[in-house]
Amino acid sequence: METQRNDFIAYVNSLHNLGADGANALAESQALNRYFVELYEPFPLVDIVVQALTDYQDRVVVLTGHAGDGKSTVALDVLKQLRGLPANEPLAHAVNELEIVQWQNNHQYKIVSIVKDMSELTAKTRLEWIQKAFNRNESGSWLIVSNTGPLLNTLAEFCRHIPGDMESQILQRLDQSYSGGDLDQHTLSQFPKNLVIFNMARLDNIAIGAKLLTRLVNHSGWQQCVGCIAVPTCPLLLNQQTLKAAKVTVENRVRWIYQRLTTYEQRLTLRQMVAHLALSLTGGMSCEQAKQHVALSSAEGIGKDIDGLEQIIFSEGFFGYRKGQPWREAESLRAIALIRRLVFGGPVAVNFERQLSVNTGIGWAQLPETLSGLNQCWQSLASESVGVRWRFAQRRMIYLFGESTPHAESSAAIFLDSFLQSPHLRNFDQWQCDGGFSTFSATEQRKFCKVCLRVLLEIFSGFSAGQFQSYQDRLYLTLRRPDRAVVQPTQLVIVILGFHQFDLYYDPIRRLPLLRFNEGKVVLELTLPLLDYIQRRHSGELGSDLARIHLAQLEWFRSELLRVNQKKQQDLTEIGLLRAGIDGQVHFYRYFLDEKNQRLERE
Amino acid sequence: MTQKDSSKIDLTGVFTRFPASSEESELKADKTNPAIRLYGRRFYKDQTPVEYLAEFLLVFASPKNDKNDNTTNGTYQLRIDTNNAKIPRYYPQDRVALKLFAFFPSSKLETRHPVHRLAYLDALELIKECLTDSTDEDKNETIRLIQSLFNGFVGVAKNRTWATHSFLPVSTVFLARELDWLQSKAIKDSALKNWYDADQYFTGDRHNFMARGGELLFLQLANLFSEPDAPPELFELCNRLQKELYKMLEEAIGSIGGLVRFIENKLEKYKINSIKPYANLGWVPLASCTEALLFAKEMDNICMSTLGSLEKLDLLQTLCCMQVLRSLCFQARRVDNTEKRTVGFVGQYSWIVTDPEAKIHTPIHQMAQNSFNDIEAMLYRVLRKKEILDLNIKFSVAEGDKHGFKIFRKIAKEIGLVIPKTGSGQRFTLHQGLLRFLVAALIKPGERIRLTHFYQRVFSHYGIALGGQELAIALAWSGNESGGESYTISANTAWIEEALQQGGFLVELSDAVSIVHNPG
Repeated sequence: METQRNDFIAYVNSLHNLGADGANALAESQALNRYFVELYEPFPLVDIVVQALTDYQDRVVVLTGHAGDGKSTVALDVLKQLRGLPANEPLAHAVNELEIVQWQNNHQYKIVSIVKDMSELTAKTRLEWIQKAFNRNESGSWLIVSNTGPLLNTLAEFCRHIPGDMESQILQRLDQSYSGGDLDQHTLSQFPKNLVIFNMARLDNIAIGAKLLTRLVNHSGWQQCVGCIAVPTCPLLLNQQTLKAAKVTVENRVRWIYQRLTTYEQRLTLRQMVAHLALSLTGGMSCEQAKQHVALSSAEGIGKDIDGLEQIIFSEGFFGYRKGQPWREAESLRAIALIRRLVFGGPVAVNFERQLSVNTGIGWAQLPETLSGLNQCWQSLASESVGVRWRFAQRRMIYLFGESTPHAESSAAIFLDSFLQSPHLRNFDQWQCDGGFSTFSATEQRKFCKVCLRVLLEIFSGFSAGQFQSYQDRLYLTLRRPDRAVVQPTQLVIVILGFHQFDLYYDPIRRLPLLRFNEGKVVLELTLPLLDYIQRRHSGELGSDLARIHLAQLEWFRSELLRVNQKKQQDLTEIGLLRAGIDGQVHFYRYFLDEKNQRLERE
Repeated sequence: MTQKDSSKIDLTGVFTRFPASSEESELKADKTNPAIRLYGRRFYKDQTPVEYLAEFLLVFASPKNDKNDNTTNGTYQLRIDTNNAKIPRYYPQDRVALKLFAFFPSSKLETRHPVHRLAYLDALELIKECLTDSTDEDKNETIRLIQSLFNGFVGVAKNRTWATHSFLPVSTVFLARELDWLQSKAIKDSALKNWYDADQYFTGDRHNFMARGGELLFLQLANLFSEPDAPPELFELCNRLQKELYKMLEEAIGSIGGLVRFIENKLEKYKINSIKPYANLGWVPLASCTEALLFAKEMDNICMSTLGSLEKLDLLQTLCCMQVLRSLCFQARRVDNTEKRTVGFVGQYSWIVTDPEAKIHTPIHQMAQNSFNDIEAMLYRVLRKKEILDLNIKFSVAEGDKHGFKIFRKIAKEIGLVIPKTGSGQRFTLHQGLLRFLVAALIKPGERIRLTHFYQRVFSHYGIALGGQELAIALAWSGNESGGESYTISANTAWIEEALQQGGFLVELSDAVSIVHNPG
């Protein structure tokens, strides 16, 4: 046996820009790379774009998005499909600025022009091409890939003479998320040819991102290691094998973290996720460095494995740490910078803490065999008085690799929810995967709907839920001054809505649960932060602050409810008052005003 | 970018008044007070933000003549009849009975006169007669409930006595003129036996709190809309505003209107006869229609949104304050010939704002501080210009400061446009609430614009420089021309983007393109 070099490791390391070799970050070079094909997870959008370009109507399809969202990759895939090239083979030559394809199938013939990157052109050429694309006299569809800024400028220039507030409409289409369904929401028909805009920054890429990890781990490139002398103790291979052993568990856990970042912090582009995963997988270590490490390691036997794996274990690199210490160099990666903001790995509860330092196992979680040595090592380090960082590292390892043992699901749920700092993330993620309330029975839905309404009652009235009767089943919308400058112990009730008028509904297009009034007359999008806020507020956690954006959303929901339930003038003789008594209990009073006879009657 | 304003200023336009008939009713202060001469009659330092809005809406909703017909008496109108030479006036309600019922029990003890106490107790009995509750205890509870409800809508109470309290102007039934009670005089009058004897100690013409600032804002719009040759767009804008403001005042608070009418009808006998039923309107400079147009457009955006009426009124209150600040600067700039022009902003001045959290020695902190000082210096300077003073008459600069110079600082601090409230280092800033206001006022409901366009709009309406090109223009105006470019680079707008994002108004599209969206 002799040592050999695995090119695939070099390729993976070229996907992140920690070192100088970040050459494979761009789609253009990926398209020509043999490793990329196996790694690539096709975007469902490709088929939709191809269909839009090739059906009976001429269209101009614009693909825009952040750098690294996959615009060019989609365009390349479209090109391959139109040319009839196999999707799983790299291109033979680089793509030109403008590719003109004469596409045909049995019945149809069509010219499709693809502009690889309009932002690279001069402003003058951009305008010329846009004019050409929309020219009715030149038949054919166009696919234009562009960054948003240059695209907006060129379109603004082009539609100067078109009446109506075009820019606002274009911006509205750019803000539209796409998750299947028809193209109408993305189409503007005021142009000579229909303009279809897809903003890839609005595409949900969390599931695709997490799948990339599995593809990286199962990639055939690892086969090159077979026969290498360093195999038994190679840190890179040990890391890969651990991930492989954890199978789908680790993919789910990674997806949840990306879900947490996207819903609470900022969305990552696919390129950022790839870079993050690639770095976590190799720890920035090259094949040569790994071999050198094996050769130079002074540890013996099992200690040698632990020594190597500890350097680059996925659960540390993924969260931006190394051996429990912050890994400064990795903070240049967007994903790691965002993850570090949230400080994952804090203590969960006393009983979980105890399990960390005893040798009888770690409670609910079962770790892959390859990690048992490292776990024992960390356990002994963690039990020391200065072992805080090891305990954090242990918790991160348990989170990513720990598979729940039978009958310990509830402990697992507590640990995971607490680790993710979000009580509803796992449900939310599952609903997105299944396209419905798969984890909620009808009774649970009803129950959670009530929880939402009680929290809304608190926010809208300013009284706490405890001040209302426990059987409270009505939502009071009161007249509350927005400046909150004065306490209003007595509030005029404008509208009373029964809890039964509301329901929970999962919208598969928006991929969100909705709180609906009268079957959708007014809807409140229950985004993850809002769901979590409602859950926390319901369980009485103080200080669970809601970001202003969500408070504004709730205010909007309130004013919409008021608008659709506006009372008629004749109903104004009824006066409903909500008053907190001296004991704190809120009571509802109803009066009737007889203006004609000047009488005020209490019900 | 900027050019020196070398031409000699023409002040004839600046001093022409609207309505023209106001020349005949000229008061002494119109001649002796430089601030009134410049800005119109009048702004006063003691008027609070609530009272600017309350007074503006009071004039709007009150009849403008003594005809009984609502369609011709100018109720809910923004136009005034300028054809006849009469002084325009309005007929406001005083709501004394309602205030007695709602505010007397919470008013300061030493300011409650015995005759009012008697009247209050009698008023309670009158109300009780109309209640159908079975026991006296229940009746008292009902009364306390209603009082507590009304008290929730108190606008300004401070240390004032019950008659001078004001309501939050959330409905026509809560709009009332300023009423002053001359307690120190009344307490000396031993002949006072009942409510009617005390009538003479109420006054309605002091304008201490409803100090005519709201009237002035109303007149600015009246000036804009009363022009017979106004383009049809302006006519439509006026009608739309009248309709929306009416809707807001009449429909916002549902059944409370009926309750107030019920109380007032029962307490009909508690009224004041000694006060004139009308109040004369003052005047504004004719040139103010430029800022009035901006004011009207912004008011239109706020009124057309789908927000609740109370939220709209909250935004309108900020709008009124911002309009006061803007009017002061616009008009001051018209007579001040020492500064330069600002391209992209008709006001020809600028306010540079800083991140409220910015460290003290950062350039933007310093720029915002200098900017505030420059504006104050301008407002101070113009009141002392000999062009605006009638040198034949003895004038009072100190009075002028109370009606002009001091108002800017006070209002700006009250709404949070200038921080800190006390201490040194005063500077312009924008907090989340003001950014929310700017979005609501400058972007049509439902409209989306690019962030850079939003910055341009904020500059073109208020002269507020947030970054980039506008900041360079603003710096050049302040006289820091040489360092302008380098400062611009160092000014960071991330704090504004973050605040907009937190409010849910900013959407990051991609590739550094963000849009600002007014959800409506």
